[in-house]
Amino acid sequence: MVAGVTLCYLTMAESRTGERSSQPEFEAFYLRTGRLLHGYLCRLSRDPATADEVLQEAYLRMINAPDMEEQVRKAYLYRTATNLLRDHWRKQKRERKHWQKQNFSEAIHQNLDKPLDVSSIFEKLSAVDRATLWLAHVEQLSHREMADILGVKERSIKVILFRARAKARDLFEKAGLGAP
Amino acid sequence: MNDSDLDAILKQMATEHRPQLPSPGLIWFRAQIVRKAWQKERIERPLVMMHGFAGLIGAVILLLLVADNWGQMQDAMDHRSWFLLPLLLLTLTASLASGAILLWSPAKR
Repeated sequence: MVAGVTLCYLTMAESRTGERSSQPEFEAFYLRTGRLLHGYLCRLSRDPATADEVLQEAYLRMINAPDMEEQVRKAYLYRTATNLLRDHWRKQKRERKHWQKQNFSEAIHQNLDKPLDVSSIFEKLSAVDRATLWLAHVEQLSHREMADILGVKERSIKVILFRARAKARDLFEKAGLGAP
Repeated sequence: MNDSDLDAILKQMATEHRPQLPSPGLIWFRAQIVRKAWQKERIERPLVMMHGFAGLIGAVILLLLVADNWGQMQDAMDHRSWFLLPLLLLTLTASLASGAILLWSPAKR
């Protein structure tokens, strides 16, 4: 009887979730945003495996969230992905403390044998700087949207972005990229 | 280097990123499974709570009964020790049966 009631409720709940996005709509959105979100997560985490994991989880949450406009949905996606990555780092930190493995740091994912290309120079910046630069230049989001995604004040974003740009310019110039 | 150079470098870096992404169909399918699990959990939450509440009420009633009849029970145990074994067996059987019902109930499955 309980199973029957559960099934009935599930069917009712299913009919109530009609306002969520449809599969073709999601697929189109995924194809538009997936590659860049993966790039953002890769640059931020410095680990493609973590980026894959977080990307899938972020999309799962977005699908099950109420339907929203394209731009709001994109901001929601980036905010969720950033928060998931933060949780991942916290968990990693706890595990590291637990196992007392001092040498297992964020830098473990860096491939030190790689030639000094744009990506490896970019990875020398802090996580916040990398995220801010990516959101501002690649995603071309507004200060407000970036503040919402990164969980900081809009005024702080301007300062963070200004400093991140200066640091990035300095690093790229030192590596001989772009005009001095 | 100015801001537009930096912009060009970052955009170039993003363009060069070509990952092997999972298919959207797979993500959609996983999302449906997750959604069903959430819905099931939400629907069955009251039932799980009622299980816990019923267990608590049962334990309280048992304690009250034991406390109320403690004198008689002690007397029975002192004078008729044969009474102790069946009582223990009965209690053990009842506890195991309650546990099994709770474990195999639809809310836990």
